Amino acid sequence: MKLDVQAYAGLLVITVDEDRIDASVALAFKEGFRSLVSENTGDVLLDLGKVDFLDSSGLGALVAARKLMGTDRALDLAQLRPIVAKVMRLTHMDSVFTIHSTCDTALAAHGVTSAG
Amino acid sequence: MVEDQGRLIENNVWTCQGHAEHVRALLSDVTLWMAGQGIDVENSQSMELVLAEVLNNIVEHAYSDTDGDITVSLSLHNGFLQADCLDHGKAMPHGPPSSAKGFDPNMALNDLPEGGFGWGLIRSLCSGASYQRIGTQNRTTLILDLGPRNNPAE
Repeated sequence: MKLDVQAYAGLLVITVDEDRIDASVALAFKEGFRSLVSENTGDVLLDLGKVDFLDSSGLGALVAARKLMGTDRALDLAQLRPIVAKVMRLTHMDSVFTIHSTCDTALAAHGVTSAG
Repeated sequence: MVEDQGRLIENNVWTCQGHAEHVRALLSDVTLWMAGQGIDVENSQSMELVLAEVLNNIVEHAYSDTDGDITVSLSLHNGFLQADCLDHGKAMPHGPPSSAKGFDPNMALNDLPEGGFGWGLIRSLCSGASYQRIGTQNRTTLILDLGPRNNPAE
């Protein structure tokens, strides 16, 4: 489970460098996510632009990640591909996350100007 | 043609071991086959998703204590795609759940469910889903309506 990290003032952007978050990698995702966010405080943006498949195991991993952050920190999602957005919508889990169409709009929403 | 509705066009069968990595490889093969049959991306992704849910269920529950194979048969009919999944693991205790679990978006963060989404997704996407226990075998059948805009026979 490859997770790339870019830290901005006040926002940690984690890019999932995989095309699937499914049953075979759900645990690795949770563990990778946990180790990244435990080193930081503050909000996190999860860039899912490369993820073309999310099943219920993957969705469960996203919810676990959200719960891990606690109520004082935000976990936003960006760049959801159609099938991922569909799964979020069908399960009503799209109301649990703030979802941005692009990383730039997410950064702006958190008061961060994207790096040049 | 109305009288042509439901005609079998093509069928294929795959078998994999009951582990997540093998399920992933089977889904990849199934997706390739669906593309080859001219099934559009949205329908193909829907079938891949509901198949993943059924197969993950088999791995986690039917084969929780044992090893075993899973056989998937896909039949493309004029107007719908049918998937039959066979395993010889434990029986599903009461068959698929009959109603969706309650979920309140306003519920406390720590109470959010991390599972139980699978059958809801199947019910949302499939026009039919059934489970049968036959001897030592589980058979789960899914039917995906392909819709009027996707008729591979044309």
